Amino acid sequence: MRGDVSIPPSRDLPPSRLAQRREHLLSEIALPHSRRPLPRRGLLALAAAALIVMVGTASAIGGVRDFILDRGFIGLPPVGATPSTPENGELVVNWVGRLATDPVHGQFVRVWLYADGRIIWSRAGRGSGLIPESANELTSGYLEQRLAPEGVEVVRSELARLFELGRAHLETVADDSTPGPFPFGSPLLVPAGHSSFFGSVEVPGGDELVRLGWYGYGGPEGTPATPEQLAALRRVDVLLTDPASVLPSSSWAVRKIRAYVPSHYEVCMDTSPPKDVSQLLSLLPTHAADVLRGKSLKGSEGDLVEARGGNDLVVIGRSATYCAKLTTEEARNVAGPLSGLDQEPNSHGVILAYRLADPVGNLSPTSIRFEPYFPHGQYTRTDSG
Amino acid sequence: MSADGFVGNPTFVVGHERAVELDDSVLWSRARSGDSDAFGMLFERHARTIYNYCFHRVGSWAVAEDLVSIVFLEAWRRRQKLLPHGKELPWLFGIATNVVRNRRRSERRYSAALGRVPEPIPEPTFADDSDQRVDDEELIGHALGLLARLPRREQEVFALCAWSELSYEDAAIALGIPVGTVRSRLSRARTRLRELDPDIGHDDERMQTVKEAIER
Repeated sequence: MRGDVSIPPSRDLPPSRLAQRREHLLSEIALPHSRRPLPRRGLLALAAAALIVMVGTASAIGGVRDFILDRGFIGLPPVGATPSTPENGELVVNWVGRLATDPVHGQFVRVWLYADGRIIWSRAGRGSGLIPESANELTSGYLEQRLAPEGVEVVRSELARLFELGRAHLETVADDSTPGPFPFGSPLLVPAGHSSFFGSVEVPGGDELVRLGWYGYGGPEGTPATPEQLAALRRVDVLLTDPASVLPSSSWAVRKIRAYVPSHYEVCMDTSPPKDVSQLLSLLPTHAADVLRGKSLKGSEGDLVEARGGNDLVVIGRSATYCAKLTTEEARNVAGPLSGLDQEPNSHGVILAYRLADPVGNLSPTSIRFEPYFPHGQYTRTDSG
Repeated sequence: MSADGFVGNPTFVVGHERAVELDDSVLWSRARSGDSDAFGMLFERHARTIYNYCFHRVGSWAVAEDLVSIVFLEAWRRRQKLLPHGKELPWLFGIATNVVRNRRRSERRYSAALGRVPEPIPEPTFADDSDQRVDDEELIGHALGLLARLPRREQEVFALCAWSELSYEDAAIALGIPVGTVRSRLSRARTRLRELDPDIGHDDERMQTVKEAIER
């Protein structure tokens, strides 16, 4: 007991675990970022992905119409891979959070459910390799299954219940690709034993999204969730992050997992401090620059912030991003000439990104990344570092 | 302390090397110049403290373990930082406070690194205290539920000063705020907690009253 509120006594990390963590720390800091190895199984997964490319190409030549990828991938799909259909879909819900219930405790999960039943999801973090369909050990990549109308209705009804119970905590956010503010304005606070450590669930509401967020203790200010709210949140958690465990076969149209193959990509160049778009294009191989030059590149500029010392976010500079929406083939025409460049170390194995210039001081490097579009017409910034 | 930073007599041995108890400032100075062994010694020395602090903030031993790794990876990333002599631990507390506060961003930033943490080796003695750890999480969950009713800034000061027993000066360094602000926030935190449960602060009844406060 210390201070004015009872707390448990201090405990040690088990000695072997302390040693493991020390070794892990030293190995992480010893290797240059660009030379960090992918886990062995990750390499195997990449080799398998390469094999899929070869098989896929051969299948295409052989006249096979559908080329379904049965595991996730990083970046652009193999040539000939069949895109997810229909190209557009009505979003029912978007769930993002960190699970507390998976076997290795703490994967980052993103889920999008559409009215046509498509459920697109990704898992990232330790244990991703335990999912056979994963792209590698760091991330599953974006995967797809399909619910029957009955399954979609089950999710809708549970969402309605959750949002009714949490109506005092709802907020609206823009329905665009801007990463949502996190922590939230007024999240529910959930105890350590809850099924997810933090997260948010968003449903369309007019031109915006209506969001309910939750967070474990120690995060932002909020209101402890009531038992009823926790129970409703737990049901939605499991329905969206592990639907196979709770939905009967009648709720499924296609339970088998396949890769989500987008039809379009957002190709973005990030730079700090801001550079003129012509300067950025000059960093690209000629052919890649030519493709982007012919596209409408939308630019945005903002503060580059970093959490420092005990203060809140500190502005350390300015950054700019230029993005263009490309078809997969166009994106391939940009990515092809880049293959000789170093992949962005912070993203390696998680998203397809190349470093165009090293960072100036403690600012961010200049890089180009490829983000998939989802059926509701938005892309998301894949967090990787 | 001698000119080369040795303090007292040799106290422990690591591998083939004779090591001596170097103070944190010397280890940090070496880490700043890229000496990963020195940084590893800082980790061994302070991992437990940061582990418990993180647990007290988030209520989960498993999460706290990951956060310890993140705190030290983040410290290494910021190793160019010049620190006041002997204030390395308060600075680590500051990083831990930020990591906890911005947990989602921190964990995502280091998700690839965390993905490379090896699976735990089964440890009989550790397994033996698993029940206690479950109880710990329940108890700290109750405490955090109470603390969650305070503004975040007061929570942080309270957790550092009351639970981790940092001095006002060290808490000020950790949070990057004046000492006077630490005092006033801690005072307000204690006042609010007493308002939430008037019996808080009376030592012999504390445990019971907190439980009752939560169970109400």
